[in-house]
Amino acid sequence: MAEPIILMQDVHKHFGHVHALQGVSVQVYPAEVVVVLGPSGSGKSTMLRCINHLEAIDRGRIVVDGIPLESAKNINKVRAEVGMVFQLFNLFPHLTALENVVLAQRVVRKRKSRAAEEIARDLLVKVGIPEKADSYPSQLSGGQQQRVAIARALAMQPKIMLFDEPTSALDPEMIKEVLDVMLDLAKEGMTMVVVSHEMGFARAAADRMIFMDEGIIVEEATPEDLYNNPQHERTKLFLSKILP
Amino acid sequence: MASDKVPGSQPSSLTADAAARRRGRMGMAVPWESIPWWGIIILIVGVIVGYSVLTNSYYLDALYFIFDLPWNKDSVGKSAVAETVSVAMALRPGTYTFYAEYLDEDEEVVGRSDVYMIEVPRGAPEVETEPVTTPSETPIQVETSTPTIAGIAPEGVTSVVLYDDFSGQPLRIARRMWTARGVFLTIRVTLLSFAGAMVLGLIFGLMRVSSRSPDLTIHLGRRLLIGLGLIVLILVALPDWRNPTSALMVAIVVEAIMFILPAMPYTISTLYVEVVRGVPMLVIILYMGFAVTPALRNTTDGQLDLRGLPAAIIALSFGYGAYLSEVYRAGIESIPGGQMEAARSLGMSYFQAMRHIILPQAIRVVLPPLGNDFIAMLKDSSLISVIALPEVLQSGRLWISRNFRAFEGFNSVALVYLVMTLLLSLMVRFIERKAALPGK
Repeated sequence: MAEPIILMQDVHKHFGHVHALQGVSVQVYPAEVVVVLGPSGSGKSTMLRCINHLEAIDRGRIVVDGIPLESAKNINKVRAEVGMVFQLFNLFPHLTALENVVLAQRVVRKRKSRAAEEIARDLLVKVGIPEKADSYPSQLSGGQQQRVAIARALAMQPKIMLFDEPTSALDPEMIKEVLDVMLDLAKEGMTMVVVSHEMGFARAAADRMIFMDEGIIVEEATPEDLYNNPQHERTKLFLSKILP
Repeated sequence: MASDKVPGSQPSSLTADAAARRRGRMGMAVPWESIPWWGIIILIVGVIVGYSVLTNSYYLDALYFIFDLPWNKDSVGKSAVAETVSVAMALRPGTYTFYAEYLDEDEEVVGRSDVYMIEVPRGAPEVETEPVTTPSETPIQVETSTPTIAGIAPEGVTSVVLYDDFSGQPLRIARRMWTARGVFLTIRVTLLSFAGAMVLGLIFGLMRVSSRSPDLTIHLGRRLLIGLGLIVLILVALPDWRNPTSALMVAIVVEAIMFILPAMPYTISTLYVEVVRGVPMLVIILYMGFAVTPALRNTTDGQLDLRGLPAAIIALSFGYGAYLSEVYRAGIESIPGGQMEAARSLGMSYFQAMRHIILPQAIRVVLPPLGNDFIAMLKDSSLISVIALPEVLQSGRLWISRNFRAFEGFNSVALVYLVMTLLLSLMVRFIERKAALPGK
């Protein structure tokens, strides 16, 4: 297999007295889709946020696309290559949907307005809401907002996409429209790390699943194996609670 | 009434009743409920002011003085001999219209002369020449920038005031208004000081939201090396300090400052806010006007002269910057952390995220308190009268000391401030409405 595009080695992270990550080591290869699940407070979001250095790590080593995450210069370089989608969308409320997708292209990628706008319109078509280009986030439904957020991240043409519980703040009928966009992305060969409990998505798209608890990786397996034949007691206990 | 316009609907008996009752009492229907709050205030103030002004001519005189009217002419010279008047200040090249006003021994205007149009050519020297004696409606060229005008005054005139009349020249009228004392000086001071305070406040506000527990080890080697360079520079510049004790002290102080440098922005900003906020505005203005300005003038041999307006603007900006920096800080801290995270995760630097994401949202949040401070500053600009700047209050007091009419004088001053602050309130509301996002 090729070089891993994300490499985490023995990563530790403390929040005050809480030891959120207790030596996590993960490798993600290009075009791989990894779904992370685990109970709340298990460190899954923290792990994701460490990959693009929204959280500084206390110990260990993270290399993204061959760039070690150490100095400030590398961090901005890495962040431009790694798209992130948040649980609460975090759209910029003072900008329209189109401007949300355009802004970072112009500021970070230094693209001309017209080129950036063309890319943005294409991406809004791709996520299925071209008609909402001039709406403000407050005028969009949750599902539409999350799709704009995905378009915003894709506009930077990232090599990796991180999803932090992208559907858990959505009404049930809106979850599908967001998952469909994510499935399309997975089929196109995007490298994705997804924190999510959506079993349907995991079964359809995940190459590998990671189960985390109390800051450590408990089990790694294919979706089939993890759902049907979990090895660890904690995994079994957790799955028995979330599976119907 | 809206319900009357809907075809086929019955007019509500309640509203019809109320309208009839109103008509009965007042003789006509007054739509009280559709008059805005400021309309009512203006109505009340208008009635009081209208009554006062109509029954007491001192009000008009005081307001005339406070507005520094007229704006279409300047008095440029006065003569007691009633024959010739020289223009006191050098004129720029151009065409001027002069006329003389005749005063009797009580300083009352008893008449005016014909107009003298004069053209001052480019490069005319500041010399005395033959006086212009004939009134003319077409320009007469003179070879001086301080011309003299002569004529025979009528019987009973004891002095003559020469006026430069620029009624038809909007640019000169605008310049005259901009430099007028009274109301326009207050507006000028407030606008310039508030602009200064907004810039200062933004800088110190940003410094105050910077990290409180910064990483003191970042670029440590580089910083200590720069400190070493500074120590050498200081010792080269100040030979007196080239002894072991002094050199050691310099080294310790410089390196200590370089070490805590990453923590400096927050510390400096907090120091500024706490100190300036704790000192009365009046003290800051007096300090600036009577301590700092003379000191700067002395140490620079008169090169740096901040007397008058600059001192006032610096003092007000500096004082209000402290309040505004806290306003900005509140605005910035009110924006959810997710916004900064989203911007940073797109690869923006801290300052790009501030400029494009955080500040545009924070400004909308702080518009009401900013407007509040703007109005407060307009009123506090009256404090600069203590360094002898003739703004509204100082003009009013000057008028009172000449006319001995304290009620009329202070009422006029209060009225002028009230009208200005009401207009500002309206402007702030308008800006808030314009800046509001849809759906908010």
